Amino acid sequence: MIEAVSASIGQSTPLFRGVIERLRLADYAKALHLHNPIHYDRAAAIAAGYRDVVAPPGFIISHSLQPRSLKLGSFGIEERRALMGDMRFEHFAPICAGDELSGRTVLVDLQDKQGKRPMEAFSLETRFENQLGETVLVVNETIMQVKQ
Amino acid sequence: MAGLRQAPEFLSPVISRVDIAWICVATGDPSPLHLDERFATSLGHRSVVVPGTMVLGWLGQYLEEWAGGQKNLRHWKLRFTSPVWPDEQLKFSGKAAKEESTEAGHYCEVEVEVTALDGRTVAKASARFAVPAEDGATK
Repeated sequence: MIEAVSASIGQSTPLFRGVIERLRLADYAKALHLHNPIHYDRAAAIAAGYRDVVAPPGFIISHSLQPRSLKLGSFGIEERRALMGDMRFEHFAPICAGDELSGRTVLVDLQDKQGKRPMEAFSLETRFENQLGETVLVVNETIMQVKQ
Repeated sequence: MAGLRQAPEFLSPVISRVDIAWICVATGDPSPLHLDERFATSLGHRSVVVPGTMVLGWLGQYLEEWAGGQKNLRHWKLRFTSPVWPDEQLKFSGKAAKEESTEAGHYCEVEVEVTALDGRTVAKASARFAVPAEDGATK
């Protein structure tokens, strides 16, 4: 049986907004045993010329700004069947603790993938703006959903 | 430039189930796929699946160190090619693929492969670094 796809291209999540928290960055650095203290030690970050601890590349995919279930649910993706496909990050400016980021995720493409385990591939784009209205990061990602 | 052409090598810590729980909390990822053995095996996986955010986090660190700081890392992308399982360890290796000078500056493109210790490729990545003028000068 082929299920009807409910999501349509161009559709987006509600606007999200949130502050990057220093402790969240420290937990992330600890989880990965990261080396560089600019990601967990405020004094080291300031000494390196940043205004506060710096979000490591890859951190902003973390779901604290936009719960993953909300993001995926906006496109009819069931979180329990979702797998990460490819991802692309484009950086424009550093993101530091205390910054307030906002944005939305847009469905830019949707495709069926045939194979041993048929899947749907959802291409999502998220633009992150800081409190000054500057685009700091654009993330493109593909979420694969195993068909039932 | 010599520093950028020379790719670093990085070996991750052995991925424990505690590390997995920890990254799930740190990234706000409550998926049972990463934490619930029974759930993961019911989907046909051999055990819980290591979150892609771990591979991503170490790749971010690898690229940042290679680029000589986050400010030089302009864009990067990766593709996950195989799931990663608890107790595995990941090896990151790369090569400089291309150099380019534009009016805006000097850039270097690199390719990275992430492999498990059994030789399986688990992710492939590429990135573009800005090369600061002082590093671009002949020394």
